[in-house]
Amino acid sequence: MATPEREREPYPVGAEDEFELDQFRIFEVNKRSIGVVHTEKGWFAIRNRCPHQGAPLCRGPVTGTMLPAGPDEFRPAMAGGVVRCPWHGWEFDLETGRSLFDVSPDRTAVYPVEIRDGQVCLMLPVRRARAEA
Amino acid sequence: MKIFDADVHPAINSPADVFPYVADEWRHQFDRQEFKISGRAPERYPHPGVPLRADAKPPSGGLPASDPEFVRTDLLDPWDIDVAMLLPMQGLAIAAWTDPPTADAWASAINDYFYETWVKLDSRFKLAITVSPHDPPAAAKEVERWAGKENVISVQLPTLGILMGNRHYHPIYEAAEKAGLPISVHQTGAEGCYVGAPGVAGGLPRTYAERHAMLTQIGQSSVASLIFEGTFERFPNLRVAFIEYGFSWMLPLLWRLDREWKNFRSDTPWVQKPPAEYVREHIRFATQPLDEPAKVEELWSLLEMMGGEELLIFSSDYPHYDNDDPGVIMRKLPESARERIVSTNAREFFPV
Repeated sequence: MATPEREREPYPVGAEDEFELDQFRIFEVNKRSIGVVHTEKGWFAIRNRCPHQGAPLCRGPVTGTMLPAGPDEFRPAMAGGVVRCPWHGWEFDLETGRSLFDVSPDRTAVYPVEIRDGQVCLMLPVRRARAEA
Repeated sequence: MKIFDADVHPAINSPADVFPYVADEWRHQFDRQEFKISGRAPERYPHPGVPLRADAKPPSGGLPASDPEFVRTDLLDPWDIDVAMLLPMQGLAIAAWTDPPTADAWASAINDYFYETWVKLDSRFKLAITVSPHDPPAAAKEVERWAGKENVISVQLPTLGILMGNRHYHPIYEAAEKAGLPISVHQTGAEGCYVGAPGVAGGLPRTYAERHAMLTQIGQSSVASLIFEGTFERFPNLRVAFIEYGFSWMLPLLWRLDREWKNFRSDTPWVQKPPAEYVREHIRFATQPLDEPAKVEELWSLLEMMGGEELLIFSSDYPHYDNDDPGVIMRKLPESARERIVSTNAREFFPV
């Protein structure tokens, strides 16, 4: 998860209206593949790499999940807050980059997103952005 | 290190793709509104996600692995795979069928299609020709048609609810042995979906996950059947590759088979050696889906105990959702066994 205290600067990736609901757009940023999406829960940016086998995570669907529940019970939750890997189907929280329900011990990186003057901006740590600019 | 990938699933986008290889008078069988080419009944076991990798869709459109040019750049080139054995699922699907001549016509057309459009494009693609299990003498003829053809390296046999050692399959084994082609078996999708297809032990699983986990049972029953029927005494040069049936069950199974053989050897005197020896001489197992214990050392211990260095062949299962990434799998294999498993074993087993 993003460390809030780090100094960040905006990295614009496109106009707000170029993004369709629940459809990831994928960008190469400082040699990292990052997926950006807006969903009913907000704007998210997550590294396009599943920590399990390295699959392009953001080619999977934006979805919700089913909370652990009793037998024959479904408890839908987190609609628009989950990406599901196109390979083995592992689910990751778009907000934290963590795997849901500890399916994986590993997480993937997430980045804050801000809209500035209609531009979608990844908020990247300043040092990295400068070093590789 | 050049990789031998024993499980790549090429696809056609429509039955019409293979029409050029179907005799005119048979084409109507496949040109029907309801004709579909999948072994699994999706009404019975709907896949909870997407069965084919969304990120493996070719830019030209169509299903993942329907464009050989894209498979070259997406799989073969990046991983230095110099042999990719093609196992068409749309051939395996005939396990669900009931009409033998129609299944023969389809298998034959699938074989011609992938040979002409994939193997001839790039000889890194090697074909496992599909034969129908419904009419073994006709299947044997199909094997003979391909015998000796360059870059044809195996016979893909969709299995029925008849165990593999049963004499039903003998004509196919005889032809495959004569042609020097190992048999490859792979789940067909029809398991537990159709009468005539194998099911899993005990009854009908409720969900996709439960059924999928238990498909390994069919591999276990098949190994036991091949051995106790004396198949490898009858066909001493027959080889069988079990693809996508798992392998971590093998060691306890072999302990048990050896024990039963010791107890009841005289009941099946044609089993002339301990079962484990037949496995070493005649059978190989593909790695995908590689089991993932929390500590990789536990996998290494298992491989050592079961002789995995000798018995396993690498497979990716591209482009299925549950495929294994070659790089990840190589890192998970112990260094001492890596080259044998991803390369050498398969080259010694298949005629490449």
